[in-house]
Amino acid sequence: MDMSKYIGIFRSESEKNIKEISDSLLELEQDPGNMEQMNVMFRAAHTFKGMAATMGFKQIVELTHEMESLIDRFRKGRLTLDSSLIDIIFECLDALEGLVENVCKGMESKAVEGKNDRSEGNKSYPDAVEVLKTLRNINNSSEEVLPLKSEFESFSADKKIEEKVEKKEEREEEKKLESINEELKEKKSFTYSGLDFKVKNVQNSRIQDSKIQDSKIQDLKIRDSKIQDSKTRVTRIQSSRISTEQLDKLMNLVGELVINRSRVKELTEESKSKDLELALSDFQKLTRELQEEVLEIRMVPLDHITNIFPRMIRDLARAQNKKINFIIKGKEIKLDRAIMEEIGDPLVHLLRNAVDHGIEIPEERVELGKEESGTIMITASKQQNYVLIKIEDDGRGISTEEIRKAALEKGLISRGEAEQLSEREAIQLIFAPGLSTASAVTDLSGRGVGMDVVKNRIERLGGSVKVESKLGSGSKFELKLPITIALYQAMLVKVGMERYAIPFTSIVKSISVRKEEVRHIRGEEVIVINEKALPLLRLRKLFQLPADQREENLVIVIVEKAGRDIGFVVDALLGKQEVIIKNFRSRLMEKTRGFGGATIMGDGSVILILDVNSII
Amino acid sequence: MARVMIVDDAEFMRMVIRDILLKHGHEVVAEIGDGEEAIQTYLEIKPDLVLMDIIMPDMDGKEALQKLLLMDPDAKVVMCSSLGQQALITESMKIGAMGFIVKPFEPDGMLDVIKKIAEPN
Repeated sequence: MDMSKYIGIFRSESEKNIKEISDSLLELEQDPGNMEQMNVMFRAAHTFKGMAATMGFKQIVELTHEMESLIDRFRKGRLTLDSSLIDIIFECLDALEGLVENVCKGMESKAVEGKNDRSEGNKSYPDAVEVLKTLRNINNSSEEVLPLKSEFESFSADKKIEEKVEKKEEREEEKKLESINEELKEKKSFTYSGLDFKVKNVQNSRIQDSKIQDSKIQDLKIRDSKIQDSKTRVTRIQSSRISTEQLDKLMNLVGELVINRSRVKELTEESKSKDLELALSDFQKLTRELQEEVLEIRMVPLDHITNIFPRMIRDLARAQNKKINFIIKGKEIKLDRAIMEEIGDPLVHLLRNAVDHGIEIPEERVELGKEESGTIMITASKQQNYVLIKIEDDGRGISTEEIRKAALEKGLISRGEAEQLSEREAIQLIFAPGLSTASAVTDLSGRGVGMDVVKNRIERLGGSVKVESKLGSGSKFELKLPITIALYQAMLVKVGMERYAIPFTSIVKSISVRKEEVRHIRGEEVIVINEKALPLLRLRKLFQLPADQREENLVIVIVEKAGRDIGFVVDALLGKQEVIIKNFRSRLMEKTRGFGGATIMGDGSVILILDVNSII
Repeated sequence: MARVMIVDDAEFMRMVIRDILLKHGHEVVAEIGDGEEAIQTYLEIKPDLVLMDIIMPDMDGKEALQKLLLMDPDAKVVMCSSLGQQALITESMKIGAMGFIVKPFEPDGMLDVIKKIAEPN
């Protein structure tokens, strides 16, 4: 029977089962008596084994079989599930994940008769053979922790008798079954292999508990060295059968269509034909629907990348003897897949930092009068034009003193700046490229390595990142991300004769103020709103255009850059518009700061998109 | 030819079983993912035969079997399970299952069982 056509469903169901077991383990570590989770875990292991057996994947069957037996013993109270055994099962799940990936690749490549790149396959998965050995050692060694008085000799003799009784019962049951189904071939091999297994069990029952300990310790060592790299990989999104390139192409085509529609719309308005107008309104409705569908296809829930986080946090915390309560809210929030794939690493980075440098060890926390367990929370929420992801911890926070010092030492800021920077501004320095390698900062204040990389990644997507922190009570990072990548909601503004687009992800709000309200602080123009000074940037001045003399009111678009608000002074607001971003493909434009790309309007004119992050 | 209802929580298993049955001229009248729903559906469509997975969430195969037989003592139920769960199979037979199939099943073995039970003569 050709099983290759089931490989897709086998893969997705395997992943589902692995996820279920992993989730249950995390629950059980907190609440060891939770029988429901125990049963879920057992069922998942059992189902997994059944599927693998049907597919004929021997190695997976062996591993899932041992895992199922082990879980069954926990379930029946014969063995206590402790953290080191949880480590071993996690190790087993990792190995299974590797095996599944391998067999699937193998089968897929067989199916298409093509070469498949296997090099990236199982590089970071634990060795299945070793894991199997570990599990077998545990399963085959003495079942319970023996009371001291019982001697191994008499124990194994007792065991043998028990087994004999069991075997006898089994044979009787077999006979009954045989009378119903005598011709089933599977029956014999199945029962024999079951017996074989039992006999092996008896033979091995002399193996002492110390062997479990040994294998556990060995396993832990393997684990620790692997935590570093193995869990930082972010799972790729598998479920869709459309290639990303196709999706991109589709998206581009829809983009062109939208531009085209605007062109037709303008022509229609010129021609003043009622019929054309009617036809256009249908055309508009259809393109809008098409556009929405294509965008929707590209969307994936945040869960795709956050599902590895609980395990990652758990492993990291355990390696550092920390207690961490990890909460994810809003994992159903959807984002464009291209964005999703890009934010995985930055999120991992921020979370790792929170564990490594944010959360204190329990003793320290208790001394500080905090709860023994630290809390790390990810909250995702959909705002009108963007998605907001917050990563908060209640750890030690970031010392702005240390950051100032380090930035000064690195020559990133002058002494005067170091003194003048507000707390909020100083803390943003952790994103500065030079600062990140400063080991002093990493050690003392806690954050540092690669924060500039995080920032760059997010900004390249058209998003922004900011940080707030209070020394002693924790830190909060906020990522603002566009919902889609190629299509922005933007505000069109007029400056001189030109139109420009400002992405909504950067805009706080737009206001209009009277000319007289402008104040001057140290030669810079500011206005005061909510008792705070808002620095102004006149785009006319920036683009070296003469100032508009007739103005009575200033039209200001307040944008946010790294937690700081700045007011862009424009000539006029032209309204909200969906813009399709065309990236610059020229060296010249790449080096020109201040623009994130261009978009084509319905009339065919090209409009530059302002990039708030690089303009100032 | 028999009208068969498949009860298994794993979509993968349902797919494999369905394909085998269809290929050999049987009719798959329902595919169900849990015991509770299996009972409901059974009453509605009265299949000739039920292929029932034993280990399922919420209501497991044994319990579903018991309830099914209570409502229809003539129900023909064949239990399915992966190797290693002999005890459960034995218990199910005691409750009144007509046969059992061990995963991974050979299509021939499975078809044999179905044939015997669905067409006793």
